[in-house]
Amino acid sequence: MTHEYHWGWLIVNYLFLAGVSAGAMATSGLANYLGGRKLENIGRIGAYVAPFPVLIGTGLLIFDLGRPERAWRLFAGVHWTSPMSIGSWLLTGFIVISLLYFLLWLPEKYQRFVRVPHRLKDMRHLRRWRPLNPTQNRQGKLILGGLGLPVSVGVGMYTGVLLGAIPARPFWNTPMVAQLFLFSAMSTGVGSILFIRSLLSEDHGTKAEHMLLNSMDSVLIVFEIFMIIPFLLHQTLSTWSHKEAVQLIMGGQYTLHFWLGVVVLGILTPLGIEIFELWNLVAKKHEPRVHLNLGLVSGGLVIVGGFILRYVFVYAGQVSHFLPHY
Amino acid sequence: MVSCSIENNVPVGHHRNWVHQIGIKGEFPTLGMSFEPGNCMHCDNPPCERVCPVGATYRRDDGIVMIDQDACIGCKYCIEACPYDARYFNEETGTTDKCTACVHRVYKGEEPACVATCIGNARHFGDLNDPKSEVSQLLATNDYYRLYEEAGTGPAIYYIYKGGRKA
Amino acid sequence: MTVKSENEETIQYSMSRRKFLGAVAAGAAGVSLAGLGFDRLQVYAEQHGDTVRTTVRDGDVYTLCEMCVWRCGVAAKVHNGEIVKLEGNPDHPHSRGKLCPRGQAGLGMTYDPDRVRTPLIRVGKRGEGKFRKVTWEEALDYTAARMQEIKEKYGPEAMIFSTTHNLIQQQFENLMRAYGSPNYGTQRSLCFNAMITANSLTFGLDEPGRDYTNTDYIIYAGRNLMEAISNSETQDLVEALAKGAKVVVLDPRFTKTAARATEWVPVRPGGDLAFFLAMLHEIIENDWYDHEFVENYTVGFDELAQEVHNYTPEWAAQRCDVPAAQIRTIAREFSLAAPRAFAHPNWRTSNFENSFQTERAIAVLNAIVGSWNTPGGLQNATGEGGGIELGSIPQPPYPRTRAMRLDGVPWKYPVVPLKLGIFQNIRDAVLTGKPYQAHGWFVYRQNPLSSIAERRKTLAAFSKLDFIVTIDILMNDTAYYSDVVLPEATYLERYDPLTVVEDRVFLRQPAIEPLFQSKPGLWIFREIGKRLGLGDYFNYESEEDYITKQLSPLPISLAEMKDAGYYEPEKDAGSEEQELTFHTSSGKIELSSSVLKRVGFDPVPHWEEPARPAGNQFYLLTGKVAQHTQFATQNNKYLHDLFSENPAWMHTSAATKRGIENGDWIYVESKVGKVKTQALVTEGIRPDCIFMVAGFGHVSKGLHLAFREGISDSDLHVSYTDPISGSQALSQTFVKVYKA
Repeated sequence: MTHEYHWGWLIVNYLFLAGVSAGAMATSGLANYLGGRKLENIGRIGAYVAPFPVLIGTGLLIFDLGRPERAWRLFAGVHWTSPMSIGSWLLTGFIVISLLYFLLWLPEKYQRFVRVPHRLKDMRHLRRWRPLNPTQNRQGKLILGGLGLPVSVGVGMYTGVLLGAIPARPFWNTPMVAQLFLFSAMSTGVGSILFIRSLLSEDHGTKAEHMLLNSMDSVLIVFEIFMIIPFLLHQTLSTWSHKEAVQLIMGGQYTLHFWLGVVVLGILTPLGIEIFELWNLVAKKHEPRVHLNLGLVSGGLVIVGGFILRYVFVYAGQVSHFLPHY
Repeated sequence: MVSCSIENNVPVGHHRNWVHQIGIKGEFPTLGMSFEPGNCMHCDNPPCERVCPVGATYRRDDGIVMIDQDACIGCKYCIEACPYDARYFNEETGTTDKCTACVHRVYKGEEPACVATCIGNARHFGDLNDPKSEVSQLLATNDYYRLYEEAGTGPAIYYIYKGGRKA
Repeated sequence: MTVKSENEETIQYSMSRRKFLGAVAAGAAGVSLAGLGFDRLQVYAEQHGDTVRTTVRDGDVYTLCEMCVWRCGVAAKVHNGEIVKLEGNPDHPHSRGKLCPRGQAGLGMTYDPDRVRTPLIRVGKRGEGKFRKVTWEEALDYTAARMQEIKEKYGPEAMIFSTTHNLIQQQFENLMRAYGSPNYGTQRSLCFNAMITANSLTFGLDEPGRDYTNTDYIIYAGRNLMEAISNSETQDLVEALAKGAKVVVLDPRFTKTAARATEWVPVRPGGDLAFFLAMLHEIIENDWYDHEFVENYTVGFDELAQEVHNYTPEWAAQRCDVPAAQIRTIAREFSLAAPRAFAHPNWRTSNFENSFQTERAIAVLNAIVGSWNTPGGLQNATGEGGGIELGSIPQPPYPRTRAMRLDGVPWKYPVVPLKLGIFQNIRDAVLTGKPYQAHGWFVYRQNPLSSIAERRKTLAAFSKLDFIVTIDILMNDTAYYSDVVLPEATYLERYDPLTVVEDRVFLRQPAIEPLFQSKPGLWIFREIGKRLGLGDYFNYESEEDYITKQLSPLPISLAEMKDAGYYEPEKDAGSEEQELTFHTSSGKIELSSSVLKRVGFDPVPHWEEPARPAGNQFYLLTGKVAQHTQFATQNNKYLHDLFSENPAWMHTSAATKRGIENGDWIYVESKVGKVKTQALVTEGIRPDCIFMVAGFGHVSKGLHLAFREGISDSDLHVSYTDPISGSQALSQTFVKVYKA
């Protein structure tokens, strides 16, 4: 039986872009919290990245709706049983927070445009809004970064919850999919920062930066592996419909995409590179020997792998169905 | 299927109902073939209602599951959520649509369009709460099954074996 | 369809390569009419220089379907001048409130964007698809002038008139007879000449009725009622099965009817005759027949008994591939169940040259078990037109036609009824020019280019004709090759003569005014008649006038008739009693036919050995599906959506032997043609058979959905004609199949 695809490239892109933003925001917030000048670049890059992919993605999402002009209805209330409803609110919250956060990270010379009311009663009088002083700016970053963390987790995870909430699509309907998407999102966020950092450096970056990025990403990738293994295992050991569904990536039409695109390119290769880098950094105590080109590669591959993962899930999921009873 | 599509302005290429052919099974000359018509199951526990982010899909008290065409934003989540593939995206209206049990006919005391025209007398529609209704009688006197009950949907379409053979 | 150039004056039909996309785009741009509200219809009409006339009326209009020959009663629901839905009329015995898929899809034809909108006169070569849009005035003048020219130069017999079973047939025949031509082509010989001839000779009745309500046993040979749906009869069969009647289906293919039947008998094509002869043998030899009935109501029993004496089940088994034991069992069961049993007369049965004998065998089989006019058996049905007197319109007598008919009836085929004729012979006569050369062909509501076997021969025949005029609704294949195309209004837009079904008179009336420039047949025939100087034969002012005149003996006005859709006269007390008389020469059921004997054919059913395919060849079977009616509906968007291709069924073993898998492209080749199609590999057919649904493979670029979809069996079928009934033996074509 052939099945139609109702969700296509627009949705795949949205899921991917939202994931990148969530990961970038979380990483930036974490870097900012862990502190110091040494991690400042990470904080900044993450802050710059965070709002934009998700804005583009959300635009695609609204464009994909049959009636985009009715998108406001998503905010007319909350439908607690609908991951999409909750997700819309999460997404909005994330966009607001990440945009404000982004503003706080703008270079000194632009900070004078970033004005807030210093007193509550000044809210109505826009002329009385003043820029933040450096301390306030730092505090603001901490607060928003702090708020951003759970919201990022929410954004990174809810897309998985959304897919997983549907018994009608056995490929999605597992407990693993939410976490898998979360860790993949975080990983693509880190990957994007790694990628940009490797692009931008005139200097070779601080050891702390590279330690943080590579170790975060490796850990996230390892977690992803720990998600994928049970996902494959328990799909195969579940009902026939689930077994049939996971066949799509174990011999079926999406096998190559998954194993080559996601596992080899998006997981194993970057992991290998990052472990190599970490070993370099840890073992050679004299100077940090970091290969920026490798950073480009591992960061880039992580991003590509994350994209292909979303593609495989969205498409394979729509093919999977309850088996007909006849 | 033609009757339904015309009655409900369904764009050509989409269908609110269907007939699955089961078979031809067996080896010549011992063969079997049967048919399984279907449409939206108007579930007691509809997964489509659960996932709709704007509350456009709702289940009426009489059991008929409806879509408010003025509220639907066309996100298609419900299409993915339906195990029976009963829903379709209507490109003309930009919303999702499906069988409405011909509510507009039911109000007038008529049967749904598919039931009214079925030459094989295979479709029956009525009030399960009324023990004297045709559907209640049929369920009381025949074996029946429902589809994908394990999904927890509580479908309201019962398939009965009317003393004929199943392929 | 990309109508490449359409300006005020001409149409050039053509088809872009990316047909599907083009068609979708055109539809989206608003060419599609179905579902258009009245306002949009107005805009569309104005864009095409048309005026939209005001609606007939809103609400329910009771009329008659024309999507097949069953003519079910239809309630057309009209809203804002648009037909929005069709439903079965609960008061019509053929529909009983239900409609089949084609009946439901009827408005898809009325609103088909490919409808011919104005009269057209060809300007390019035949088959080029180039026409000039003309007024009715010009088209009718031209047609009449050409017809008159042919009449004067070659005699009226040089003009062929052909049409398929329809409600206005009498007016078409009226035109033909007034014009003076004897050459009448109907599609009957492509379908059931054998059945009608056999039953007329046996019972004096074209087609006996069947009592499903009380029957316990039915035998079919073909007659795939679950797919070749005849609404009420299919409903009857469904009910009979539900009540526990035993149904035996002889069919080389596992059809949906076979699937529903109690017993499916995969008989060898052409072998059904042996089956029935063996049944006769069993029933007579074992003394299971109804002695009293045979004694009182039949003649020729002894001759029959003598004939079937040697047709044992063992003899039959090798000829029909049905085990002898099974034949015996069925014969016993049938005779036990009789008279609440009948062997259905069917329509085409096996469609072999021996099908006439098969029909005779079936007829006498029913007779000897006394299955006649009793509950559960065959019925002395009067069929359409009997029982109620309708008014007629005075007109002069017809001129005598001196010429003999082109189809050889009755001079070569003495037993074939005149009203049936032999259609394929007309086509052949045009080609050979014998007994004389025809010069014109008037086609009404018919598609001979697709229906007669050997399409290339029909095309060649066309090239011998000076003038071809077709009245049609769509630019169907024959219309596409014609010189003049006259657009008729669809059945939902016109009046047709009243029709009697069982004990009621039914009216076909328009639900909306004819769209575009289309006109009803009643008007077209009258206008042509007037221009041919035959106006006296068309003494009515308008369609309504015609109907009113038909209604005159009945105590109901036209307005009341339009409201109700039908009229049921009071029954006479005595009319229930029907004497068992038979309109045969002996006045009884002729088991041995005096007519056949007189003419020199076997008077009793007789074994005729059917041809068999050589080693690697297959029987070519064709048949119907529930979603289509012959060649008429492939372009209907609702039906096209459900069924748009006709792959060739072949058995798994036959496919494997040729390295063919399901869906593979294959060639199917007969003596006269070769087509490329896809294979549908299945267990549901005899390994020595190929099957395809008929009606596809249209060659007209004026059918944007149906053009070149699927294949046409007319490209493959070889013409064999049964010498007794003139029936075309379509299944006698043998084909080779190989991978493309």
